[in-house]
Amino acid sequence: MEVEREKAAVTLKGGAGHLRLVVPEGIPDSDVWSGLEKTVEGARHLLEGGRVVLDLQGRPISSAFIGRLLTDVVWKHGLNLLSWVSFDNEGLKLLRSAGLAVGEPMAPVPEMRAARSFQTLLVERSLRSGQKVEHPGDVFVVGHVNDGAEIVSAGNIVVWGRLQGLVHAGAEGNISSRVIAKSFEATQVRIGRLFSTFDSASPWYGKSVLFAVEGDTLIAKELP
Amino acid sequence: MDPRIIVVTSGKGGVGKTTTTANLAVALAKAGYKTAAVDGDIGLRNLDVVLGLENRIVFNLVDVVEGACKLQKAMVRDKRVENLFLLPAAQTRTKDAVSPDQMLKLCDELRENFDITLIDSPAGIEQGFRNAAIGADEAIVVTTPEVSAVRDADRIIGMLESMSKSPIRLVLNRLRPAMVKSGDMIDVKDVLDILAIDLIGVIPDDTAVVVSTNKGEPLTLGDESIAARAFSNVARRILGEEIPLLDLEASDQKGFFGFLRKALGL
Repeated sequence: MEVEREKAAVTLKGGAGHLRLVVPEGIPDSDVWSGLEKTVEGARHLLEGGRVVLDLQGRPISSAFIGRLLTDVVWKHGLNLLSWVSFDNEGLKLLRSAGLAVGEPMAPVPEMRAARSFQTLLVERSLRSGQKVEHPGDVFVVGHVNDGAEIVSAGNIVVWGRLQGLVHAGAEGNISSRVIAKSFEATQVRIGRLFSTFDSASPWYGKSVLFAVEGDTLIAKELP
Repeated sequence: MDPRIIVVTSGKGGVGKTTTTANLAVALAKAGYKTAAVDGDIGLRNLDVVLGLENRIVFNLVDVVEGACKLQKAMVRDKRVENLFLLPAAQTRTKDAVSPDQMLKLCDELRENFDITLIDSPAGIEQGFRNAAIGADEAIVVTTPEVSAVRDADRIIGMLESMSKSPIRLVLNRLRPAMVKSGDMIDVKDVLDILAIDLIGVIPDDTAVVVSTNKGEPLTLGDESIAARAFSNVARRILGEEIPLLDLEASDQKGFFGFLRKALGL
């Protein structure tokens, strides 16, 4: 009985690049909501920023059920849903008609994989125009990166000097990469697939700045 | 003094490489050093015109490297200044007419015959520049106080560094002190901050340069202009003298009132 009870509970599992919230068919409708509440509440920190696949298995889905799932679970807890998985054809039709993503999420694109760990490349000189550094790990420049120079790194880029050239951190898709410049005078910064442009009128010009990705946005933060 | 070969280069065109080469060659020859001015800009020769020697060219650099004539035969001797010789470029050929090996051989020969050789490099970063620089020991990079010229100079300095040229020194050409003062032109400090190499001279923007270039009479032949003095000072610094930079701001005060202000120390 104990084993069966465990099987028939709302569970959260880790998947490839996502979390999987499973609502088994076996549990009665009345227990679904308390089960979801308990699981989501208990894994609050895990779910924060994580991407979730909601797996409803063969449970018959009505429009009211979907509505309540959205209001009482997804929106209430701020879940970031990747897709809905269900074997109920009528339910799938409803989900599709609402424009919701259904089915197993696609395998993570290669660019999304975490940066492999490589040694940090320490560049103890200035990079002149036309000089390019490419490195599969972090790059640390003790010197200036002049206009026309380039750094492409799979990890973080730190410029302990004046940054005027082009830097591309997380170039293999690791969007948790950061760019840090002691004196920022560049016209463009790239992290992962995102980029942002600047001119000398930007509030960051000449300052010590950290660049990172939050959600789908490249953000800048002045360093003390 | 061991024979020295210096390439004069810039990356960007039109910043004053040829004018600088001509004026320095004249000043070095006047200082008593047997000097060769080599036009490395095969196909777009100019150094002969700026030096005023275009009418006396018989053979050229390509003839020498191809073995059509001896080096001594191709060198055009300047009759105005003792010790000054020009090796002109071929005008009817292109940069591909010379190989790096041929240039190295030519430089060895120049070293045997001259105290100082100045090679005027073509603009650009391709084969023409590489040929001009390959046989040189040291380099003079010419730039103007413009963002584009400074960026190109930065690029060329990186390439000269990777070719192990040393020292690599900077001539900042066509500076207008009044514009710097009003904030409309990058100043010397900003340029040096970016390029991070030694400054060997600042040449003010001077109409005398245009006149002398068209006449084929380098300023260092005997002109009294401020630009002439600035070029002469660069030559002296090449020879190892320590001379302070000219006060270009004072020279900016032209005319009677400028003279009066200078005289009164204002």
